[in-house]
Amino acid sequence: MQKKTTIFSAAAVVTLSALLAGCGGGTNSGSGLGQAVSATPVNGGTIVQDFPTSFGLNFIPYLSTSYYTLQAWALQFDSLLQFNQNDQLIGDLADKWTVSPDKKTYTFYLNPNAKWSDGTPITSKDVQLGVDWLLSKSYNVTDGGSYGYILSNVVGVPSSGYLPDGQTPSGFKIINSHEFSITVQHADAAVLTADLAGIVPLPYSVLGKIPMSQWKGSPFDKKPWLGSGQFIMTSLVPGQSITQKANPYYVFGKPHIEYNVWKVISPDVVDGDLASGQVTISSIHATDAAKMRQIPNVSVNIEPTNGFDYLGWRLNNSEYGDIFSRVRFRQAVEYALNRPAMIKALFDGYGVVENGPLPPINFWYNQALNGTYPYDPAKANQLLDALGMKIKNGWRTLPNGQPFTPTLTISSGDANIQRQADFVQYYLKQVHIDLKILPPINFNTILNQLNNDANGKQPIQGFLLAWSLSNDPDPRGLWRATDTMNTTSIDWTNTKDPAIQENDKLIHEQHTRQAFDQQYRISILNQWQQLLNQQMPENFLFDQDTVTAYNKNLHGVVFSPYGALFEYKWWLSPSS
Amino acid sequence: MAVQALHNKAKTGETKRKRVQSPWRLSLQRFMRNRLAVAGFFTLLVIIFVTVAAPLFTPYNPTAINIMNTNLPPSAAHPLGTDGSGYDNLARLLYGGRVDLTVAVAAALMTMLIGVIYGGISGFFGGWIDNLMMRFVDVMLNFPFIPFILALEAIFNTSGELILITVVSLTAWPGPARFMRGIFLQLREQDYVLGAVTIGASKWRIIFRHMLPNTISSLAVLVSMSVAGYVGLDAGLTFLGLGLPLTVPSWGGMLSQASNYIDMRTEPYSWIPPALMIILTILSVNFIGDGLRDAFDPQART
Amino acid sequence: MATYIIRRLLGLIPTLFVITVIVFILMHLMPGNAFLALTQNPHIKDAAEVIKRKEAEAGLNLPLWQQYVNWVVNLLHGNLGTSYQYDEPVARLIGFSLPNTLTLAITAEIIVLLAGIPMGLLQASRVNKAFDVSTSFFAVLLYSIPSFVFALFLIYIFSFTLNWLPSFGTVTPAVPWSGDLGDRISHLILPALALALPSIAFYSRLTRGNTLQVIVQDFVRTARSKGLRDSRVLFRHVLRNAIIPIITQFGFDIGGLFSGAVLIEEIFTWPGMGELTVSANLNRDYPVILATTLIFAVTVLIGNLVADILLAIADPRIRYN
Repeated sequence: MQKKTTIFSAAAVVTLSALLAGCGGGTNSGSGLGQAVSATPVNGGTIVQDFPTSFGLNFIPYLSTSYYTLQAWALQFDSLLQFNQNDQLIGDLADKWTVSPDKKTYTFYLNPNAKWSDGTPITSKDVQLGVDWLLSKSYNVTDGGSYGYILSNVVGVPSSGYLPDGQTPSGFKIINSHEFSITVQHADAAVLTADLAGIVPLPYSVLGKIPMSQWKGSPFDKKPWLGSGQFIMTSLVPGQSITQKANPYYVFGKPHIEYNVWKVISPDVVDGDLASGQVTISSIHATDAAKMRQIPNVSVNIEPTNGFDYLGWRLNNSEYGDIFSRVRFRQAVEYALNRPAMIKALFDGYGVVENGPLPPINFWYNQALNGTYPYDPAKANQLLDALGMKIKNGWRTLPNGQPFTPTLTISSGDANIQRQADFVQYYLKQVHIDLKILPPINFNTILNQLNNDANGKQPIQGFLLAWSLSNDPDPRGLWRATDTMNTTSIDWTNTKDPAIQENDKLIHEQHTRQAFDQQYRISILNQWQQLLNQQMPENFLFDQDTVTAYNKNLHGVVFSPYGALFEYKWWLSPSS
Repeated sequence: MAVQALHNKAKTGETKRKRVQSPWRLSLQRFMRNRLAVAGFFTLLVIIFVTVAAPLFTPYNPTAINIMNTNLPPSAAHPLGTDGSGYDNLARLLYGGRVDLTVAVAAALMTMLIGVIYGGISGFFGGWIDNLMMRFVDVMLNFPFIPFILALEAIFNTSGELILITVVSLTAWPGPARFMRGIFLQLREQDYVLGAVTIGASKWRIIFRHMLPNTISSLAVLVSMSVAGYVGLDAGLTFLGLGLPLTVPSWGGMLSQASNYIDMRTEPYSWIPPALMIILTILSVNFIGDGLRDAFDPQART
Repeated sequence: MATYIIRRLLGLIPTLFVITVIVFILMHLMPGNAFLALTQNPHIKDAAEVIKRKEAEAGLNLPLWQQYVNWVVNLLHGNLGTSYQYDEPVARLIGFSLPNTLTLAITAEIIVLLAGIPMGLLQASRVNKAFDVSTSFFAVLLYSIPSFVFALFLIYIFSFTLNWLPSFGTVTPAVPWSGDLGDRISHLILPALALALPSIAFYSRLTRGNTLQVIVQDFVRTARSKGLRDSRVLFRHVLRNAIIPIITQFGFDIGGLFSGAVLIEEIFTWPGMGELTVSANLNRDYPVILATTLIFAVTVLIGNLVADILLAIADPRIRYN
């Protein structure tokens, strides 16, 4: 029923996209996606959304590491810019922006309607406070904040990544109360979408008076009473609920819904709560979509997801020589898996196969990857034969004749991941690979084993995990040989490998100054996708759809691969 | 546990004297006269039989996935349908008892063995021995269950039945041990024990020869109660994210897989059978326990 | 008796010491720690460095024995530390959770005693009659059903189908009556019932057995022969003598009532100690694991102590030397 996958496999992946996509309104909304029921929205009502586990209790933007806390504060604090349902950057608190000819200075113009929830206008001073906060020593060191990277490229930011509390980097300049500019050190095609768009103005009238070292734990942090977003917190019950009320001064107009309530609800009962109307909207497991549709007062929406599941191999694991680092081995695995059948069985058909590092719904996806790696066990066998892996007693051996029984590590608590593993084992058996599924272990244990792999024990060979991607396709952070997420997952880091050199080179080129030309960036990213498609550094599996069930009384929801957007447009019809 | 419940002295039925029979024979006769207990006994036998002889009743392998036949409703080929991995629900039901019953039997054995010996020594000797032993029980009663499972999982790099059985064996006995100690404390003051001490019988002889037989009725209930607590234990653990892997068929696992609103409503065939098996097993064991208690009650007169 | 109690109270200290040492060791045997998840955040440029810093701040780079000593010293100063996952003082988290668990557990126990004891008494007074046989059977049946199955059934019927009672939380947010007594009670009914039902069965069996034991004794016969009403004999004379072992059992059960609440809290999303413990363990939140174990242990030990004392009062033949 529940999407435990999100909890266990991509648990910690708090990407900026979740923030930018989840909040804010826009000028060009998805009008076509609205309901056809009644045309005029009705004001008032309460909607209830769920968190599967408890949330953190620090609500100053970017402070908490809890994904659920982020969802709550992102409704209360808008950022400078946002993404719409087509992954396009659109205005939010800033309604216009320009780039200098050298592609280093960005000038932003605040929206004249941008106001705090007490009616006072949002000014450049508030933006400056938000910038100072992300760069402060208190935030980055004392409070262990992890979003300082948003401004790391700005002129005046030292390599340590932080400044003394309250000091503004020289790259940030206030032009007047509603105009300011940010200058970066290196022209970077991704810096606006991946970083600067996420700057969140903070209320100078409240926080400007408090030293940043005292922000954490202050009354405003525990229950912020002012905001720039759609809903403002009115009450909070630790461990169980957050209640937010419509902001009458919201930049795109007061939301129709009066109250938005987040509740912590056990995933085992959410489906029943949807049926009884105690929960208004929640994501459910794909295999339950058909059953949920039968419930009279529930509608179901299905959207592709900007992310994918993969089967990874620790490429530098030497248990079986260098077999995992052989491209043909991984290609053979890709041909051996009947991924359409797996999608049918695991997600009731709600998903698409994934052949590269970007999902097919992504704007930057390379269409040339379509149809590569069909289910072809004969081809898989050919590739394995070519590697010299002979079949002995029904099972393939290593080229040197030794037995080959690779292991697969999976996390416990998620029935769907265990099923994926069973199906992978089944298909590898058809090409005579004797995959052994290790008993499921706790997700933290897997992280630990991936992290401590270098000590010679190398407990992990194969594993199943998922990536959730941000709006910008920038592969930095994930795919370069030096990126932590690479070294602590597949470990595709052997820089003597020409393919890896090529990978790092393409990743560099896609964000250089030249890449401000979209056509150029597309061509580089296409080459990069081709490279990964051919190399298969990990066995890309599929992109499972996000299935959302919601009450039939709820209208105007803008569903997209990046979440259900523009909550201020949602409305509730009086219950029939 | 319910020590006091066991000393049910009010007996009904005939009190006619028969010729002298061995106490065991008498107990057996009394047991056989208790219809619920006999019914429970045969039900449990049937359950154990179908579990052990599962291959006779189903052609399917409970751990063989079938990707083309997932989530099927009941049909002639699959009388209870299939689950999300294409496992045959009937096969899993039949084989599933193995894990649940093994865990329960392990718990029962540990309860009996350690409970009796530990409780007996502590209760009989009293004094500082008792004090020390009971402090250890205090520690074991607070043994942190969840970190223990997670630590074992990591040390042995596995999860599943073996971990479950180890954990249950190590944590099932302290409660029963403390309970048995209470019984031995009471028995110690009985005239026949004082008599045996006076004539200089060895302590071990007193414990095992004189006192132990008098605890059998309490023990019977204790064991049946502990079985009741451990059948289906893995279902509860699955809720906490610590359960058995999917590949291991178990009643508890089947139950917790299907225990959400949607499946309860639309797929009764997937959760009612394992729930029934769990309930039937516990009921049978309880009735047998009741029957044994009455049969071995030294105060009974029939 | 007073010396006995004092000695037992002092005896708690070494027991608690051993328990916390065991938790401490097991906790560190669980692989991974709360900060490793940072490697999965693509935006942290140098995750290894950040993790190292966080570990150092939490004192995880010290030798184990020193970490333990630090924890004890802080504890003696009344400081339970700061939760890694919520970044909140542990005492504050427990301040939210403990009252919720206590409310749930105490309500459940009141239901158990109010329903279980009279039921057992009535069964005993009608021993082997239709009422006794049918309710005894029903009691064993209740005892046979795992409590989480009960919980789901209760939610299914009273919340999802009839929509009479809420299925989660302790209060309704965003309504004027939020937090009212009535609001709280409506949230409490289902979880308390789910927790209480199997115990009702157990206590009614226990009461029935004890009552039967007492009912045949001489003083009862005397009371009856004096012409007292049956109900008066039952509730005044029999119950008074039968209840002591039940109360003793109750003391032993206090620990069970806490741990039994873990599952129920999970299902009803009741923000209590059980939820806190489970998430702390899964997320390796060491300070919270230690604090919750400590509180569980103190509750269990005090419960045992009370039970032992009651047992001594009830049965003067048991010597404590």
